[in-house]
Amino acid sequence: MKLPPPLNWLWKGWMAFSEVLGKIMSFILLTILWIIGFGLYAIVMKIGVLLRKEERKTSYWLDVPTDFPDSMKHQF
Amino acid sequence: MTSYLVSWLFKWIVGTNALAVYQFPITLLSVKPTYILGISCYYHDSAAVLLKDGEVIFAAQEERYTRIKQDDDLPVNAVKHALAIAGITIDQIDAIGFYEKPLLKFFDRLLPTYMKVWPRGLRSYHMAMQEWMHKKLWIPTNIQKKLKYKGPIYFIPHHESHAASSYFVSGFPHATVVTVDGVGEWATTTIGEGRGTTLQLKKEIHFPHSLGLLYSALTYYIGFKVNSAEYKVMGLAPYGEPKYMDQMRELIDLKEDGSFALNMKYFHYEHGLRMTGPEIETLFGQPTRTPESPLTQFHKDVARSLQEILNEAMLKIVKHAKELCPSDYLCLAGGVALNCVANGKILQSGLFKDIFIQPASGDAGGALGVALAIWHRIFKGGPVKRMEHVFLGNEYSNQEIEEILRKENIPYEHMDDASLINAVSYLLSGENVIGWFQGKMEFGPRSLGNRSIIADARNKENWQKVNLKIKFRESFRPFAPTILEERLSDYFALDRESPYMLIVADTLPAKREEIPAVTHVDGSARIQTIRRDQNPKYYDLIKAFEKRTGCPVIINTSFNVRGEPIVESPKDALNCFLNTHMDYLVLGNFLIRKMDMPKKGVMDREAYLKQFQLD
Repeated sequence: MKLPPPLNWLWKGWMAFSEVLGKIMSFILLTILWIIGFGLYAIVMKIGVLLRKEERKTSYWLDVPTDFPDSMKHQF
Repeated sequence: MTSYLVSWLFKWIVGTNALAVYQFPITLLSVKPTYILGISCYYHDSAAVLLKDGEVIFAAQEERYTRIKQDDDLPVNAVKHALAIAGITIDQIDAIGFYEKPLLKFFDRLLPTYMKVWPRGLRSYHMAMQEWMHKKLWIPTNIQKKLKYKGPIYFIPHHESHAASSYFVSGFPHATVVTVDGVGEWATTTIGEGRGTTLQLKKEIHFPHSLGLLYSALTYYIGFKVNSAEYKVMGLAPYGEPKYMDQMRELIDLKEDGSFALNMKYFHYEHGLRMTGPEIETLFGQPTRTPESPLTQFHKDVARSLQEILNEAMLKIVKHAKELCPSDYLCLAGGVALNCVANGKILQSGLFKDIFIQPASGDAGGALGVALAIWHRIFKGGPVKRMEHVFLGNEYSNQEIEEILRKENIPYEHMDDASLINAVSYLLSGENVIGWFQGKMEFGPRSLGNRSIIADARNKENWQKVNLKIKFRESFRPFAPTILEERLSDYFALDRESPYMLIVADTLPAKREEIPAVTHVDGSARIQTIRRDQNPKYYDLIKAFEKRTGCPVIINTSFNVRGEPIVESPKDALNCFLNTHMDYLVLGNFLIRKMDMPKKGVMDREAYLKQFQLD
């Protein structure tokens, strides 16, 4: 967006402010997600790990998952 | 696209999958060539590769253009040069390939890893999320927007890109394929098999267990930059003794079949911003070395022990790979395949008749791999020729060079090819250090004779001169020799070509005193062989040097200073020349002498070096 020269600084200032605000907001939201979303799932995962019996492995090689049709068209 | 439609139609009519049957008509009926662009970016070493009907016509890393070492941004400059060289626009590109599967990496590995390490890892999580939300989750959109591209975009797993970058250009009809690097999506090490135009990965080892990350973690512990200075650790190792093998075995559980698991209590990279922490300091009994502080015998011994465990692991992996996917030929790729010492051990083991190592084995090579995979799998293209050289970047004509020299007011002498070779071979004998800038830029991390600094390998003083006064780098770092291929067995214990400087072998004991500047303290050398068909001008220069001195070996090191990307343009070469103690510069057919330089042409050296972050 382009404003007439005298108002340019207003636009630039607003953009700079929104950048900072975006960073603060994303920091807060990500932290909440970390505590609640990740935290709950992590606790369940950790309990699962504690209950699982650790087996001594003779090899760490794993089979490569089978490819699915048209897999190259997808990002997953 | 045309060839694809034709191949599909033919396949439908003939009703067979036999490649040979429908390849022939494709070639005859195709109206326009098929252009495929491979891209790697957003981690490190971003690059672009352009294929025309399966042939590589351009390959370059973005860092060369932006002058930011290991630039990870979308390679818009490299793409621009690729299109210019091919004489096409982006609309004529039939497909773009991205070298990994971003969503798989994000949802399947990154998020579960943070859940695994929770509540640790908050800072790393914040940084990673910002980066993913801004860039990495929008790769197709970014490609479409920044490159103004509207066609299809394909994705293959990171290690398949590595494997494809090696096997498909190896020239082998069938091969065992091994890839080893830091990490892709989940895989850090894979074993696979290539047959004809098909490639299949069969076994893998998952993150966080990674030989690449083990090497990087110890690189960090020894005080060098991660993802950048691992080769320094390799160069440091011969100064040490393997005194810390017990500690290494505490760090890694290495099985007989080459599979391994790291003892993660010593590593922080899953959750932290540093690779290691106090645990590893307790294990080795010494603190982490601060960058630029003195290197002691302890650091050399750790480097040697690390190199020994890597050699052992790599040998076990390729042995197991041969058992799983038997072949006389081996293809290697992934960042760890740049470890020339381990490569040399694999070659010496005699497990394979021949091995091919992708010269751009790091992530830059992934751009080549994905482009080749698209050629074979989407466009059903036929076999690709063996990669005989890496001179795949852009070049500058003598006219362009002269314009730059005139503009910069640099005194120069123009010579024809024969006079130039004669003059430079004369200047090369002795103490002079020469910048050699010719033809197309190399793809990958090595300068192989077109963007090189060269000197006389017989003069031991040149080792220190080039290290300290030209490249401003650590004095312990060795230099690689280039040798005429036909004279290889006269100087080195190596029985085959090594055109990409990716194999370490011993200098013959009788020759070690003759070429001290390229013989490392343990008597080894990181060899580059050269044939005339690979690079005629560079070959002719060494041949002329041999005629003059009887020695077919010279020092060849990359044309840059420490922390600087290898020079791309005559202007970059000129800047590097003016701000180092280099004696002569050869730009195409122009000879430039330092003694003729006007004083004002020489920039403030400190200011020049400050532009580049030390690695």
